[in-house]
Amino acid sequence: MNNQIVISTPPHVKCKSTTKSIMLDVLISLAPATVMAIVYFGLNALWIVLTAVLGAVATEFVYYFIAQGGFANKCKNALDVCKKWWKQFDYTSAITGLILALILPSTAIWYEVLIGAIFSIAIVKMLFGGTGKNLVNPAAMGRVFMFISFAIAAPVVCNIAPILGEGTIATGASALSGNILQGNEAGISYLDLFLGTGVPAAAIGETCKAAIIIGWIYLAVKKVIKWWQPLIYIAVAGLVGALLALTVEGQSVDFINSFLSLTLSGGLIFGAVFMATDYVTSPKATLGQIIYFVVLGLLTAVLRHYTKLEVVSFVIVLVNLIVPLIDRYFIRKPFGYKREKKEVK
Amino acid sequence: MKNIKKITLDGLIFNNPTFMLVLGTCPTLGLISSASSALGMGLTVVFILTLSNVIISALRKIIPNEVRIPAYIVIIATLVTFARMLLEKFLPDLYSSLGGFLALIVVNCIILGRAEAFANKHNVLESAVDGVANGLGFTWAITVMGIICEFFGAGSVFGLKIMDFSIGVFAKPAGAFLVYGLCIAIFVQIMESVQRALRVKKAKLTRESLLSANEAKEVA
Amino acid sequence: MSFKSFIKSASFKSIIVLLCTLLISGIFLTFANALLKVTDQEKFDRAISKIYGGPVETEKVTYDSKLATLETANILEAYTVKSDGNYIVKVEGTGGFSGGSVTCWVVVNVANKAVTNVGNVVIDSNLNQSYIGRITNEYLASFNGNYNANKPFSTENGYVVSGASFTSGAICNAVNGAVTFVNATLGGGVVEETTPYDEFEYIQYINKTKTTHSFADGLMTYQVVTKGNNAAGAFNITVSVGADKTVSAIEVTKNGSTGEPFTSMTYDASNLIGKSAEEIKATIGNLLKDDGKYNISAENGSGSLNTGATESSFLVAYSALFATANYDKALAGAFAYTQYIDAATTYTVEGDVINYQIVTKKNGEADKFSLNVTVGAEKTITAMEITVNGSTYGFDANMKPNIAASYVGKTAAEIESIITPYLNDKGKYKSASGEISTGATMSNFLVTYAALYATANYDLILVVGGAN
Repeated sequence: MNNQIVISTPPHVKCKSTTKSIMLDVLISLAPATVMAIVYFGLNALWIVLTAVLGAVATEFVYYFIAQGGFANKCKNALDVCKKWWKQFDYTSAITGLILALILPSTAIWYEVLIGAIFSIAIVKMLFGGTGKNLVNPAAMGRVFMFISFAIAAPVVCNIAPILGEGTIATGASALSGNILQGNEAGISYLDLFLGTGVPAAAIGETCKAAIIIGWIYLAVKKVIKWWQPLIYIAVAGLVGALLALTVEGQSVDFINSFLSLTLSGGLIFGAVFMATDYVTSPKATLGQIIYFVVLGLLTAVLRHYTKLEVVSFVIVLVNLIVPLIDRYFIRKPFGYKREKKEVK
Repeated sequence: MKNIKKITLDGLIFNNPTFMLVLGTCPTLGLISSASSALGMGLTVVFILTLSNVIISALRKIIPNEVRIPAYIVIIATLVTFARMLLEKFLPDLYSSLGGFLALIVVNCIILGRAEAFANKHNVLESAVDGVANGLGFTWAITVMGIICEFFGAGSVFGLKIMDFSIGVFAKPAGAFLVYGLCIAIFVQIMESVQRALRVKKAKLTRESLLSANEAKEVA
Repeated sequence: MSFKSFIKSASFKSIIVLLCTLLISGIFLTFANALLKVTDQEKFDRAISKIYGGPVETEKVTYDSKLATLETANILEAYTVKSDGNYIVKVEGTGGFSGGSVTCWVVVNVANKAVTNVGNVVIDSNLNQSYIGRITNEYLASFNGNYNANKPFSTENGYVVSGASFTSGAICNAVNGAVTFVNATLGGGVVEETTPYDEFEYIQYINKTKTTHSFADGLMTYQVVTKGNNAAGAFNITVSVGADKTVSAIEVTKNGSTGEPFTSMTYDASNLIGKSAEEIKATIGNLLKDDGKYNISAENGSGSLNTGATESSFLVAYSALFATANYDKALAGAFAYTQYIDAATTYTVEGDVINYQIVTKKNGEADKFSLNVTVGAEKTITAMEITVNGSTYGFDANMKPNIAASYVGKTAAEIESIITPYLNDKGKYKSASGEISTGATMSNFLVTYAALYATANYDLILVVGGAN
């Protein structure tokens, strides 16, 4: 990535956007969610965000430093290597750190967050080749790593279990039941879920859906992501999940309620907007992308229904691994390609 | 004697079966979460590998080439069964901690690999040394990995609890894979730098001897 | 190919070599096996010494199968240690998560033919205990040495691992069961304790040893502890039944469902208020089979108990059925001081005056007494006379003079204070010194006992009404 001369085949089109500018856009779109996270969860959330971001950036720096021979020659080149690093710094690790922070619950301890951030950057991203070469989404993988290693309960989505009543949700999971019903006898209304008020013990960035949607709109307007990508994921997950919920015995809820509650809760919207749309780990062709998001939605719905856990991170990692397969069969249309019209004789 | 030294060093370090040849990964991954069972597995493999190498080397002129693989397998399986009986009788704790991996030693690539690659071409003494060296190489490799995994995964070393903090991934096969990969990387890095240093030293020596020979010539 | 060339060929050599290898290996392994075989006995000894903490010689105990089936535990195997007489018991404790169980080896320390303490507890296996991984070695070690005869191990007094409470309960049941079993074996008796509910109806899902009932203010109030029902755990339910044999109050004090959402889906017990036994039975419908067992194939039905937590709802309704259907029997048991009163006793009620024709049981050398006792509105004896004097061998001359008349005008409390020194903590006669210790104390005791019975049960009979 140090080349000043780039060689490629025509057509040559010069465009304003660089990796750095796109990443800055993503950072801006994450800002509302971050702000709401700190508003709802206070100092804990701030610590988590800071630890994750700083840890991620520091890990990238240290890795780069060692790999580029900062320690060679008895550290004579140290300053040069530092300057080189800053020149090619493209905020990707900061974003990974931020996303990782936002999908953690506020009870995460700082050293767990640090270890997770180090793992995400050093092993999932840098070992495979750095920016653009990672196999799976680093933040999602880091979340999975932390889930397996530490006693961080995946924030249990409160209404995956059968829902009682109309328009309100009673608790489904024992971990949340105490919190939700404290002072809120009827359960949580959909508006509460949407705005994130009154929802306890969830991941800090996932609670305020409105902030995430603002980010989504910003990214779509800035053409960083295509607006329909997260929509397919959320819609499929909600539909399939609602259908599955209907098959549960003793259910007395209608389809709309299930659908709304499933989409509005947990990490679905956040994961769909920020993690599943990552360029590096999603397919290149349009048809491939559609299939990718449909598969994501299906897997999320099915796994959520049967395990009653928040599975978005796991599912994203899984489907990322089959993206090369999708890419192989759904080849992107080359730039400027037009189908030749068959001559009619 | 020099041959023996070379064989030993090869088995222990330069051609380490776990880190360089990446043989016998199945028990490696299954047992790394506890250093003591890793050590036990390693020593069992040393025992079996040495005996199998000796026997196969002794029989190398008799076994025809066409049936050598089935013959080797029979010999190795017999040895493993015998080892199983010994362990069950005298070391029942080790026997139960190894579990199913004890029977898997029959198809452990290290044993069959060394039999194929070395024992049927060299004499008994050299084969025995090779068996011991490779076995010990395997042992120290998985014990080191076992210590790392157990330390991070359970906070203990050889069963002595040292710290309360533990990262759960390392107690599971996923973490074992990670540690294995990282260890190979570190080992290869160390190997390369050691070999580079050796080469530099050799080149320096050669250069100096040439220079001194030149000076001697000039003086003369 | 001729025979000779075949013998010289490579394939023949290969076959021979292979056969020889196999033969030699086989013979070698046979020898090795003979030398090194670990017999089953040795394996068992190793397991036992691991549990016991040291090498031991054991002897298998044969026991009555009646002793082996307890309320919440089943004894599978039992061994005594030859050197010190301790017991090593393999016991399965029920009441675990999702209706399953935990099988443990429990060491019971014995000295002087009595249980002194509990030793090591080691888990052998389990059924359906998904959270068994949370049971730590420290938890199992907490049983060691902490046996208390008056306080069996229970999740309520600290023997619980959070997040695996059902599993901990099953382990407690197993340890208690082992101790009970050893007690019974040493004492040579049947473990089955008699409970007041042995003759009651609908006891299949009721924990007879833990359930209690009492009669007060005209209501028979039960503190029912149920057993588990498949995935539903034990419930604690308080049911009150009035004289009309309908449910007057009912409350679930501990919901035994396997967590949310089933806890919220359990049938609302207040729907049972005012129902009689027949009506409750109709509500349960076909969830109860004719043999008294739960009908799991009716779970998908459409009755009011099929709420999605049907197994829990069944237990709630079942306890109400148990309470109402056994009202009469419970009432009979609610009488105080019945130990020396014979079933032939009768009484009639006229307004607020009760006339008893009491027949007592025997007491030592004193034979049965018959007495007529009348108790009036002030709950004192208004008249009392002995109709049949059970004193034998002329001891009647030594009885307290005019003992019957001496109780006229006395209340239950006063008579109680006379007789209490002569009652041991099980309510049976013991010799003591006091007002009625004459040369015929046992006879005096019976007369006094009859007077106490009459006055103490005055309220109960009036509320219950009618003659029996």
